Amino acid sequence: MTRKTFKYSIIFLAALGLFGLLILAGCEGVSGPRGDNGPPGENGPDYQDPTPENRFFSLAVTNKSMAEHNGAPKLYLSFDGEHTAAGDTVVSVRLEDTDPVPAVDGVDGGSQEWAGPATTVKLYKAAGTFNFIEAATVRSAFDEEYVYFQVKWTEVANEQYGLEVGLSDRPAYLIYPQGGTGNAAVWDYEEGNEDRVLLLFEITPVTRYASDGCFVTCHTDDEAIERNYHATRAGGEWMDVWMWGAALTNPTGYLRDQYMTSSPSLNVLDDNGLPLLLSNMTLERDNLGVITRRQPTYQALGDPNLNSSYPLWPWQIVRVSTSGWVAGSQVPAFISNPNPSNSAGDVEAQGTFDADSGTWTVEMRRARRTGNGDDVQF
Amino acid sequence: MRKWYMVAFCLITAFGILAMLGCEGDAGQPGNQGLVGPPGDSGIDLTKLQPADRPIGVGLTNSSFNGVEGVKSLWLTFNEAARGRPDTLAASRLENPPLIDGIDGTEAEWGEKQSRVRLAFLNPDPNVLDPTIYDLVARAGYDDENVYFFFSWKEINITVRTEDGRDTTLVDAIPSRAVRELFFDNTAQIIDDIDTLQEGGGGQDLITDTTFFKWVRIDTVSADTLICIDSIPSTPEFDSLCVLANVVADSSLLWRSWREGEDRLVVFFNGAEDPVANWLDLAFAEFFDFPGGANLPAGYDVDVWAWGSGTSDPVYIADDWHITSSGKRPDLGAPPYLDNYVLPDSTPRFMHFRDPNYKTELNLDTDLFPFWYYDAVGYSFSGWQKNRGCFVAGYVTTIPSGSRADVYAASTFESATGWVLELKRARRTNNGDDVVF
Repeated sequence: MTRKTFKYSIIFLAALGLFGLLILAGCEGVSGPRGDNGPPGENGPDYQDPTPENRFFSLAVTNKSMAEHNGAPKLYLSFDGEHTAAGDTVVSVRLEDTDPVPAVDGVDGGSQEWAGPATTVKLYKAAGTFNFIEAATVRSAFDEEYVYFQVKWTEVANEQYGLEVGLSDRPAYLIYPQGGTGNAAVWDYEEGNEDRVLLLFEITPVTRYASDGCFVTCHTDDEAIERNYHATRAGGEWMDVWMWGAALTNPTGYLRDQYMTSSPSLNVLDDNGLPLLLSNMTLERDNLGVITRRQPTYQALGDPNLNSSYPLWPWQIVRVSTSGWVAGSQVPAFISNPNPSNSAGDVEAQGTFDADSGTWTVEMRRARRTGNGDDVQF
Repeated sequence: MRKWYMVAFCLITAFGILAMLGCEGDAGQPGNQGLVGPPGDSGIDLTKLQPADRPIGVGLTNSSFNGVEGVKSLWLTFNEAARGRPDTLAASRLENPPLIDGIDGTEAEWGEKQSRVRLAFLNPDPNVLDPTIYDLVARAGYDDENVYFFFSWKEINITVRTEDGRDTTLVDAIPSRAVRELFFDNTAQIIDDIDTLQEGGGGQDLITDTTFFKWVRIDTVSADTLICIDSIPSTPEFDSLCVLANVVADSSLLWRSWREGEDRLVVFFNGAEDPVANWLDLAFAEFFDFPGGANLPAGYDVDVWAWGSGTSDPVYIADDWHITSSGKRPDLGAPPYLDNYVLPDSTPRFMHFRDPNYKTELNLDTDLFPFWYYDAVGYSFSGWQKNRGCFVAGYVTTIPSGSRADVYAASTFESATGWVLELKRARRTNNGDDVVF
């Protein structure tokens, strides 16, 4: 390589280096514009009331005699859609906006009306003697506001036990006694009876309810055991008691909403508010506890001896006559109130009896949250 | 060598010029579209948010219509951090609803917050007795659907010695339910045809407006009797007027209001977002007929929950009223009671089915209340034992409905602990005459 060639090589390399520096030092173009925003995400789900918590409950049905009822002391009520309606599990179906609302009319609209299956539950002797009703079908549903129940059962006749298939709607009556004159001081009291269905729920956790069901509150059938019925086992433990009766409550469109505490002396209390049933009995006792006066307070218009029956409404009554009664005349021991209020009137219920099949269909509806401390909240 | 320096200088200069003058590169391509956003949060029910704080007023009476003890500056707050103070009623969010049974469920039902409220006598009328109600304890709670209130208070006996040396009880520490108990006045008589009254038995008519005076009480009755009219509301100048007239009496229509008052607790809520400063003064004056009251300005609507031991307690409600610039009015719906006393003829409309003479001065312990509508029969003009002093209930308990009946209530009274009253109402009743929580 000559000296001249070397020089040009150096110049060439220097120029090449400068060119490289120029490239490196030259300004970069600006960034392209920001791309368009992506499309908005999907709407969040609509507000939906929380699904009620699954819980245990109890069921009992009678045929005429309240004291002799069969029941399922512990059933499982599933709201979460993760259980199957079978055995002792009743599935309460969430009703969507497109689903029909079950009509509380005592008429079974089947799965189409209830949007879900029924569970056939096995019933056992709960108290007294067996009433031979060994099964009932139960449906339930709920929406944002209400929870609905349907209970169906078929009566069974048994001559030995005096059980008949038929509508039993004769609860308590006051009967004018044999040999009485004018208006006898002490009328006979006929306990009477009617077909009934009861549902029981925990209001607050009840000791051993999850294992023993409602047996923990009643019917040990052993009078020697202290506090053996109609009470929970510890203070602050309350049960909600829904009692529907063919004569006492059915004409009103409500059921008798009650609650049970740990006090056996209080027995089962009516929920607060204007009660569904008003007593029609004036009762007085002497110092020894002997009844000295037991008379109806009211009678139906037109009595005496009209033999008035249930329902006897407030607008049908007048003060009881002091004379003119004959032996055997009867007056209902309760006045039916069509306007129970507050907590006493928050469970609507209606039942119908199919005389051909001997089957009762009773349907109920209650607000999921009543805001009453004597009610279970769903 | 110098040439090389010149070459290097030129190159550097050229590089500098190029660097300064070199063109900026082209803009890049637009970026890609962003990804789809995440789903929105779950919806919320706006009706279940925490209620707004608001001022409230509370008034209490003992056996009286307007002898009001109360508080006009109680701040109801739903702030979880707030604590109850004499001037602040702090509501707790309740997991489980309290039992509305009139029995103090204490903290187990209501939570820890409570207020011991200072009471003051509020009626400016110096002739009205201060009932000296004391120990008002208030609690409040709410959940998604309802608001709940608890009140307990105590009463005292106030007795005065009259000029004849006898003690007369003005107010009792007992549950007073006898609102307007009617008393058969066996010392007075009444007449009709008041328009026959003329001065001195003849000449100019003394009273020409007979609308109000179909019946007037007088002290004695016979032909040509001196008749003294106790008072004539529409013509006060004729107070204690005595005239001689020949009249015919109907002595079966003489009932006077015997007792007026009941125990009451009244709560005032303002439905306006920006209430006038003295709205509670105006509301108290309007509702309790205080002297010197003035109407609320237009556009204001005060919700009034008026619990009465006689009028509303038997049907488990607080009577729901509201006050506007037009005055006080009951909310829409059926009332919890019907008035059984109409002044112009002094005749009860109804009597108990055991009447005449179900309650007289010989059996004062007989309880007339509640006087249920199904115990009421039409008034009988005959059969009253006038010399015994008979009593008839001044109102009939009925079944309320509608907006008038949407405040549920239950109470108990014990002589040692006084009244316990619990109230419950839906946060939204969807009635325009109710405040929304």
